[in-house]
Amino acid sequence: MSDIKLIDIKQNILSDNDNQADIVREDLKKKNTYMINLMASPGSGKTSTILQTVKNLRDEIKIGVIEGDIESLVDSEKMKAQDIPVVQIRTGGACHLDAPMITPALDELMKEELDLIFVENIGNLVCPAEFDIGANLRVMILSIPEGDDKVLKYPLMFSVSDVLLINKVDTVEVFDFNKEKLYERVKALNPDVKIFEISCKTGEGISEWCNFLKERVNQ
Amino acid sequence: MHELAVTKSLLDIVLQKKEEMNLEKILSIQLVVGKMQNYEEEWIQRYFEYVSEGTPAEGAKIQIRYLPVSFACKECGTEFEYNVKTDDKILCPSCGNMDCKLLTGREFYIESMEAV
Repeated sequence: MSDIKLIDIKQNILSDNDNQADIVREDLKKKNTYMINLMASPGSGKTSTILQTVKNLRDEIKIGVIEGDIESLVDSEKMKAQDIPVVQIRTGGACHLDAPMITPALDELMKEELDLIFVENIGNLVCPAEFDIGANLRVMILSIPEGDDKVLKYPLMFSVSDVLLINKVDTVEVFDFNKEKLYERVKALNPDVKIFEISCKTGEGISEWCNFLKERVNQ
Repeated sequence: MHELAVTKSLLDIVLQKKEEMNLEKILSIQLVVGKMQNYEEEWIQRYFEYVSEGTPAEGAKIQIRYLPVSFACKECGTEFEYNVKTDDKILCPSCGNMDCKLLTGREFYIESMEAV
């Protein structure tokens, strides 16, 4: 029997995905399009946030959506009803989107010129955090009913996000949610994160978020 | 499900390395995983056994070295560990400064493998 060899590898396990994500980003840059990876738990308001944002910005910038879902078409139908260009990815069981899934969806969506693309990731705070899809901005939503302790359970998601939207702030009185504690925990893991408090229902905070986004898209 | 996608990538990388180096069989794989990631050795092993069946990596043992979540103080440079489950604040233990930089905790890579 031959000798056992120890072979040095030092390679990121998701390097194939990361390389593809870089290609996606370069492609978007050439076309002057800005892409957002929107991540959150089921029911936190991803679809409502997209609809509210489009409503506020559609006169100024052209927005398209890639919907990621395990099975259903419910969300993309909501987009179509508002005349928003949309492409649906059905992952058929997979709990996250990755860069190779985004590439063909992007080709399809980019048949028309767009300034901004929202990718609505699968509702889940674990795996979407691990897969770079080539977006320019990672945005996560935490809604008030989910509780202020989510940072402790899903630290990676809070650590990799550029923006945190705290949705459903109109319900803060109903739930035992300590905003101060949340800010402390999030800022500890991710001091550079931008935080906006919004309510898709009342419209609170939406214009601040949209102004920030407009600036980023026009940069 | 994400363990499956991840173990497939892991398998692809080690099999490619095996080809490049003209080896026969992979015996063990050493991974480095930051504590912010959600990977348990037992689960990665189980999924790996499933995806590697019938390949030269079948039966390989997965060994994970975990790295803590750690920060360095931007003021005095002190390096310290942070417990994501229990600590609310990041506070330099030497000077009390709160402006710190993440050092480790997000790692997820293959360090090495043993093969014949």
